[in-house]
Amino acid sequence: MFKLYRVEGKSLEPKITETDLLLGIRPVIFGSFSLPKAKKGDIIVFKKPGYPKMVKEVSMVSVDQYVVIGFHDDSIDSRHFGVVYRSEVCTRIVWIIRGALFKRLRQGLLRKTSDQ
Amino acid sequence: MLSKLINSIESSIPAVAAHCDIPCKIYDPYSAQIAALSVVRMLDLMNELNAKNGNDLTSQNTMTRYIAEKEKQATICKEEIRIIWGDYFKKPQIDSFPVIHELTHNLMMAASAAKQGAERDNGIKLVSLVNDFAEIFWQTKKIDTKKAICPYPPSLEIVYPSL
Repeated sequence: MFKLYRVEGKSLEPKITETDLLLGIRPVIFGSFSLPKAKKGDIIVFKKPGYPKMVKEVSMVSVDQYVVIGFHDDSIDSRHFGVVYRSEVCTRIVWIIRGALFKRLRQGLLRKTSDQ
Repeated sequence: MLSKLINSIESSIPAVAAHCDIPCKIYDPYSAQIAALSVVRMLDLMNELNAKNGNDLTSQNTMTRYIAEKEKQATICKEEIRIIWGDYFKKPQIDSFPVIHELTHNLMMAASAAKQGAERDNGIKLVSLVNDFAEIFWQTKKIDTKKAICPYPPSLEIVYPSL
């Protein structure tokens, strides 16, 4: 199953910016959702209790536990909330859609409007 | 119309947070050092005025201004240190310098003592603790420090980064 996200925040810049869209995948096995598996360097979306749904990079993997980081000193990540358990992972990002799609769509509209 | 449609499509996509507390990353204990020096400066001015034994309205007004400024600068010092301690220091820095918690707490108490009293020693202690804090802060960034007398009153020794 695929899920589309937009990004709020700058902790993964320059790899991921706020204008990017993210496509995440969650495997479906025998009709039910399975938990995504991630390796070091993967970008994952997860939900820790008390935090919004977050996106970070996996920096270490142990058995069913991930250490996740942002790229800045003050990023809210495993340094704040500890490891992410596999059961807390929603999707693994497989595609970063660049190019500020919605911004360009709006600009396109504005241009068209002024042409008329 | 189309713009509204685009907006609604965009907002229908769930957001994921990649948040930092503040993305600016600007932390420097210098503001706290300046504030601590200002506390000592105000204590010095208070003591000078007191030695003159002036009890006229102008002297009272001046003394009140010194005290109010001392109070303000001690509060700034506490606030600046708390922000660096709370926002900049994370597990790796705390693991390297576990003394930071006790130091920060001592610093809060020293700043309060400087507010409550008129003794110069309270201010000197505050400057000294802020210097200790600055030294650790720069060490976490692997930046060497040097000690030098600040080139203005109260001419006390301050920790500067060697950049």
